Amino acid sequence: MDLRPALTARPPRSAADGHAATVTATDGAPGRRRLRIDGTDVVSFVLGAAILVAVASAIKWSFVATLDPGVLLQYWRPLLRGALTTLAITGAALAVGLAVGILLAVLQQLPIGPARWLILVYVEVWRNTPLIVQLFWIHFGLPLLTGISTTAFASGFLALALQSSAYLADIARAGIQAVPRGQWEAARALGLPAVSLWGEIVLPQALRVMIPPFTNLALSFLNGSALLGLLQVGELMTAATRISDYTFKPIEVMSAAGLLYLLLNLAIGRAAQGLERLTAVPR
Amino acid sequence: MAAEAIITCEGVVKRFRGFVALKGVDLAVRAGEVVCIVGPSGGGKSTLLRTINALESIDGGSITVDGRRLPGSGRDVRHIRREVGMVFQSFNLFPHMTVRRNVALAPMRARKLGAAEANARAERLLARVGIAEQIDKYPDQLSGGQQQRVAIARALAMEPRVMLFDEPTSALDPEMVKEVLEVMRELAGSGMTMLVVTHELAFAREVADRILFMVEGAIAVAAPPKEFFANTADARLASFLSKML
Repeated sequence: MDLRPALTARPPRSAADGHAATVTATDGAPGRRRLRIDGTDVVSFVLGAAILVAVASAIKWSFVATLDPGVLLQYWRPLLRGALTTLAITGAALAVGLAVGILLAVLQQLPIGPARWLILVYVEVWRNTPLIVQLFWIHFGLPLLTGISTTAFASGFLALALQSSAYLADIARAGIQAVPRGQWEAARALGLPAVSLWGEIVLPQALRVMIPPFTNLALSFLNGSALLGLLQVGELMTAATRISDYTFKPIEVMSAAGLLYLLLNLAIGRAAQGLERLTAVPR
Repeated sequence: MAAEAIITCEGVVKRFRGFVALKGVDLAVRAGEVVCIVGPSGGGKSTLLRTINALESIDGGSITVDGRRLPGSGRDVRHIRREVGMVFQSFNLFPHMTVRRNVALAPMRARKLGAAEANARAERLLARVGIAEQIDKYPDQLSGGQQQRVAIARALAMEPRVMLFDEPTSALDPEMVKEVLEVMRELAGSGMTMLVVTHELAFAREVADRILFMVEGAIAVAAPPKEFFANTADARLASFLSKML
């Protein structure tokens, strides 16, 4: 019976779907909807079943039987701790990146030639080089070059913050440019000081536009932070690698880590949706 | 007359990438005067209006508003913008703020008025333009006519000495034009100095002390309404009027 709505309540059909459309159109009598099965339903059922069978027969069930989920029961604490560290380091880096990115985008709008060029170079360098190269620059290059050495955690944080600030400078630029000209003109015509023009008129509207691209960036950086495992930063991938090396159960442990990344990202996506609703302009 | 002029334009030139929008415009507006600017689109009406509060910079000549000269320093520009209110064709209300905040913001930020006082002023002005009951709504929840009346209240909240109107009814549905013109008529009656770019010739005829006909970046005719509409000397004006009336 669960199938009924799926089978009967279909979206309007295109002309190409002619035979089915006639069935629906002539059967417009009010009252209880009846279960109707037409050609397309049979085809989808057969196709779905075929795919299931194909997948099931490709899997080596003997191997699946050897998987040991018990290892997760034993090591869920360090994994969870790793996940929280991942969330913390990515969140902190993105917060810094957001602040720096907005600052750069605002500075770039001002008519200061040299500042514009410097910012452009900064954005292009950090946006167009791989995170892993940046990690090595900061962790191994910086101490050799300047004598300043950073902990693995600080290096990871810095790389994430720097790269995200470059992306966010561009996202913020687009957000600022999305604010209609009339808003600037009204603010100027009213004599609003620059701080108010930016802080109360332009940026609030720009930030709202920035939420969806910022969310995408947050998801890709949360996943990207797995690279920090290379420096043993202590986040989720570090924990997962250590545990799988120690237990020789990489499939189970890495899958669990993947699931944790998935859950974190889903939560971020949900939070972003909520934020969008919360900041929606009433109309 | 020059002594009591609150706006004086002398040989104002504005170019947009080779196109000359204003070809040396001279204009003096006395305090309390209502001046309507009409003419075909592309004639420079809006551009002239926008040079007066420095939304457009000028490439020649000078503009004096309330004793401050343009082109001028940032300080002069800020002074002029505080003393000159502007109402736009597309309202340009701040969509993320309530109507109340739209009106109260500028007096707090640009005139350092206290929040309570600014709010009281907003309430008083919104009542004056007939929107008292919408005060806590957001702009997008109002009709076009209501939004434009809020925009007028927002400009008035700065207690400007001059009000500029840039085609204030052109973006409105016909049934909302009246309510906005009603507010402007009341404002004109209260002695406000107004410079109005408009296509509403009946309004200009009724309210204006002087009507300017702008075409090809220059003021071709400037006359009180009676003379203006009786003018047959200028062929371009005659042609314009025959299309509009």
